[in-house]
Amino acid sequence: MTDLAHTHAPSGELSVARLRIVDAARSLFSSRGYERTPLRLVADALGITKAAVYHHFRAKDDLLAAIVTPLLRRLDDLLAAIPAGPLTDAGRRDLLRRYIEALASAPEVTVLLLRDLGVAQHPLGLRFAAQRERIRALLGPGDDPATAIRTTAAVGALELAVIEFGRDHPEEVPETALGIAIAVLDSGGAVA
Amino acid sequence: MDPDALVGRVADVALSCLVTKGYAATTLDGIAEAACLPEAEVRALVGDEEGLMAHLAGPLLAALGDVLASAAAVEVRGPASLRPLIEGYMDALVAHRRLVTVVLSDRAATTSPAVGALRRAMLDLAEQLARATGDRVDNRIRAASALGAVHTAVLEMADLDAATVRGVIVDASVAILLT
Repeated sequence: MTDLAHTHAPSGELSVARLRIVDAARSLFSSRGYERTPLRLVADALGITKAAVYHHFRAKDDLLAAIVTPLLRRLDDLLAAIPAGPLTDAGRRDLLRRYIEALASAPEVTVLLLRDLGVAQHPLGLRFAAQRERIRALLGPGDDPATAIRTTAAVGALELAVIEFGRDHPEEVPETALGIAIAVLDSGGAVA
Repeated sequence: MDPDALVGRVADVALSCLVTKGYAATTLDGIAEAACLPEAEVRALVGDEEGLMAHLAGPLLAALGDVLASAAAVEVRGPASLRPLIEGYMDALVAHRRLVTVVLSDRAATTSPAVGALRRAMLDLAEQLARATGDRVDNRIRAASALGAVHTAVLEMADLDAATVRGVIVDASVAILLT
C-alpha cells in the first residue's frame, strides 16, 4: 500500500485527474461498499479506462488510502494536541467538538470507516478504530462501567448523527451532535 | 434431526458466517459446508441466499413492528413515556445481536431486500420518534442518534453486564430525545 504522497507525483493536470478519481471512488465506495466496487466501476463513472485509473493509483488500496488518510491524519493531529494527564470538563467538550468537526468534514469517509466491513477490517480501518478507542478512553477514563458505557454511547450517537445527516445537513450536525454527546455523558448525573 | 432444529442449525451457522466473513462472501454452499450438511438439503430448507436472509430477518422484523406500533401511539410527556419504547427497541435488537451486526455494519448487506426491510423499520422508528418530539431537523438528528446509542450498545457492549448496559443506554437515549 502507498500513501497519497507516494503515488505518482502529479502535475497540475494530473492532480485534477487524481481528485476526480478520488471523488468518484469516495462516492461509489460509500454507496456500494468498498469490496463491491471494482475499479472498473470507478473508471466507468468518469468515462475513462481502468488503465487510466491505474496510472494514478497502483492498487485499489492506494485509492482507499487517498480517500481516508486526510481524516486519519486530522485525528492523529487532534490526539497529538491533547495535553498529558486527565482531561478537564472543558477539555472533554473540546475533544468532542473537534472529533465531531473532523467527522462532519468528511461524512462519506465516516460512513466508509464505520459502516463498511471491508474497510473496518483493512489496516486503515484498524488505524481509525485505534484512534476512536483512544478518544473514548480520554472522554471516559476510569474503571466505572457505567461511565465507560455512557462514553461509548456518546461517541456512537454523535457518529450516527454524522453518518445519517452529515451529507444533507452539514450545518446543523456539528452543534446538534455536540449537544447529543453531552446529553449522553450527563445522563448519569456526571458533568461532561 | 427434525426440520425445525435443522433450520435453527443452518440459521446459527449462517449468522456466524455473515458476521465473520461478511454478506458478500457468504454463500449457501459455504454455509452447508460449515454446517456439515449437503448443500441440496440446505437449499431445500431455505431456498436461495435471499430466502435464508428472509428467514433470519423475520422474527426481528416482527419485533420491530411491535415497537413501531407502540411508537405510533406514544404521546411524549417526559422520560417515562419514552422509556418503554427504547427498552422494547433495545431488547429486540439484543435478542438478534448477530443479525443486527450484519444489518448495521455490513454495507454490502443492504442489497438484500430482507436487510433493507429491517433498515427501513429502524428508519421508520427514528422518524416516528422525531415526529413525536418536534419534527425539525434537529429532532430528526436526535431521534436517529438516540437509536444510534442503542445500536452502539448492541454492537460493541456484548461483553459487559447486560442489565447495566440496558439501564445506562436507555437513560442516555431518552436524554438525547429530550435534549
